[in-house]
Amino acid sequence: MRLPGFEHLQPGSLSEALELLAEYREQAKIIAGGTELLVSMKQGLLAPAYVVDLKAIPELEFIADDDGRLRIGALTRLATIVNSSLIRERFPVLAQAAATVAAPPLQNMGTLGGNLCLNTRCSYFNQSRSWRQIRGYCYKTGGDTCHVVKGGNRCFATYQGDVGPALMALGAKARIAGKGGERSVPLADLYTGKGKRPLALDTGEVLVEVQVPPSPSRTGGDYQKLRYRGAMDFPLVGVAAVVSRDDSGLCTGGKVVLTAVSGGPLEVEEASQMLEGREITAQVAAQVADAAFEAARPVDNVGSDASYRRKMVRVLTQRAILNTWGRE
Amino acid sequence: MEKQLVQLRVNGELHDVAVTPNETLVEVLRERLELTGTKEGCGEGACGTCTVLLDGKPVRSCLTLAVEVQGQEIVTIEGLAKGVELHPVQKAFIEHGAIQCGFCTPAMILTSKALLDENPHPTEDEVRRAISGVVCRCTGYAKIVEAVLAAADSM
Repeated sequence: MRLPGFEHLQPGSLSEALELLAEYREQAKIIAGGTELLVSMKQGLLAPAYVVDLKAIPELEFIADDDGRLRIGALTRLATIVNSSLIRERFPVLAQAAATVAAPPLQNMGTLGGNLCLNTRCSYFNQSRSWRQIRGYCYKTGGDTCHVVKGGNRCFATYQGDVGPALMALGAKARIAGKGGERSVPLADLYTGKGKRPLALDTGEVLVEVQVPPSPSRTGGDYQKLRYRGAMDFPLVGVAAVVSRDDSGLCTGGKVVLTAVSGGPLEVEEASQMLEGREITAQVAAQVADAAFEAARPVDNVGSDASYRRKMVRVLTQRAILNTWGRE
Repeated sequence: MEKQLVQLRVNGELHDVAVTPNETLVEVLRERLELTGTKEGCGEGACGTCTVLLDGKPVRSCLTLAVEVQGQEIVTIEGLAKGVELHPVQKAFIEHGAIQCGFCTPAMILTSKALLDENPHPTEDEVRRAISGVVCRCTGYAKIVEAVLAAADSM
């Protein structure tokens, strides 16, 4: 499959990249690992006139321990995260989630920033141009209908990132830079939750860094992923859980974040309240799993069956919470 | 879209090639350098047949722009044998019948070589994980795993 034509720009610094993005605005797209952008371009979903390559900007590629706080540059490869001894020891759920993305060769290419900024997906969107044209345009492709939810008045495309939910469960922040300056937001605020336009980034803005606060000493995490095959596939459901407990074994805090069930990673709001002050038993985990089941509203657009996926939210949430104990 | 001159180091040899920015590495390898050992399957990164080694690591050459890999060491299947002496992984694939139609074979061998360079004595699970990004449509995985483990023993 041939790529459409474009001009390739390779800035040597972040400020130079931000200048280029401010100048070319909607005409420009960022390339880092290329595993998402080039597929989208081959399928005719995107046709940027300029492709701005961030790979020659060393200041964006690092993993650092900043007084207990973990800092990761957006250009860091997923494979580097999977193999980082710092991350495996202190934030194992992050390495665990990154290791489930596609397969090792794609982890060698794909970057943290690219993975967090994945577009939402839909079986009526991620198709060739001719396939989409025959079916007619939907909300996601500029039309005014949804092929998945009959009578749906919005786009239901699904966010299927694996790493974002784990980072959100760890309470991560995102540092975002633009030509006019930079801002730092909770990672959850990077996402709009909307299928049509899933990222809360202004034109010309770039995700440059993720920061993870130190976890309390007795903290465990787990990421559970449902997919057809043990490699390559995006999640049909994903559940990230991070739970802390005190010396007496009572939970001091916890977060549960779902993926592949809506337009963005979805935090189960009631989870922390249900977990805090409790001993984590199968019964408590089942209560949180019920809340996760209620919160999840998958639709039939990324393979498998929506009602099965929703049931698996319950199963995987319970499994993830109970597994956090074994993974302190 | 202007052509630009890039210098690619493929299997230890330098090649000066004029490419447009939208040419992928697999296109340049096959159509310009006539190194047709690298196959293009799906073109979307899913099947893995286009795998080459970039600075020793397996990557998808169908999702790699030729203009972005200057100065990096590219190894294709043509670069493994020394003259008529096959690489131990190639020999093991032949001895264990790990080849059926052959379309995934270059990718399987390169991926396995990269694994053994990093981890000379992998477990079966490690081999399976390493090759999990390459699809064998003949589904001859068992023989491939046996061949990689045998190659590890012989090296």
